[in-house]
Amino acid sequence: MGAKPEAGHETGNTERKDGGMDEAPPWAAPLRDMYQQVVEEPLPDFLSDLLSRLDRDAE
Amino acid sequence: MSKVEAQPPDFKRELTQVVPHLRAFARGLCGRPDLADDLVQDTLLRAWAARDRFVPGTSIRAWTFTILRNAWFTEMRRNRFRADYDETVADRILTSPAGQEAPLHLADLSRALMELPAERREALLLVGAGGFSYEEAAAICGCAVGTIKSRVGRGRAQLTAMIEEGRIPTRGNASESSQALMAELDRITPKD
Repeated sequence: MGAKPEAGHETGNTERKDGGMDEAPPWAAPLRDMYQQVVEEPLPDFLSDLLSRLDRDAE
Repeated sequence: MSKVEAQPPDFKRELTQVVPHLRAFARGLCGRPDLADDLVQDTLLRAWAARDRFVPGTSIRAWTFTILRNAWFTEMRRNRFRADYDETVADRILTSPAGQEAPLHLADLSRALMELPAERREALLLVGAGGFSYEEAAAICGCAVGTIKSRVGRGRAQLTAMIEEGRIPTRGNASESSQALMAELDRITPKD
């Protein structure tokens, strides 16, 4: 993928790790919630089955 | 072969632990749970095939995220996975946790995210949701740290403006590009 820095990335604002600058944007916490919801979902069977097959392949 | 034999239990355990995070990242990239899980499956197979190249002690999350995003961008160019969004599924799945004050519905956020250019969406997901540092995100994306900062900053500004100005696409009111992608996706995705 493009390794060239996009022009004008220095905005002069103090950027934080969460993509915020001076204060958290309204979507910051919901974005983390959205991600975390999926993390906490049970795995679908076909992915669990795949992981089991990998185990057998390793034996 | 000796490398493979030396690491399967640990590698397998670490790989298993990272799968939920791969699903979350893929869901954010694709916007469609079914395609996201297909992408995760593809990623797991690629990671397993390349397991002798994983360096124990390094971050398997970053390593597998790199595999996933590379696979996604490659397949997107081949029209297999499209940056698109399933509104019906999202409305059903993306509900705010009970009792939490969430002025922004997660389905709205998901729709708004899908309006961002893929690279900006990816950067926000990695840094804003996945908790990666700019340096880690840059390594995953194979670009300069300044590029990631730029993408996060621009994505942040675009997303904030979209939300604050009430320009979040409603169901059936996605941008023309998104609608075109959806039409293409409907064409290539087998129906149940």
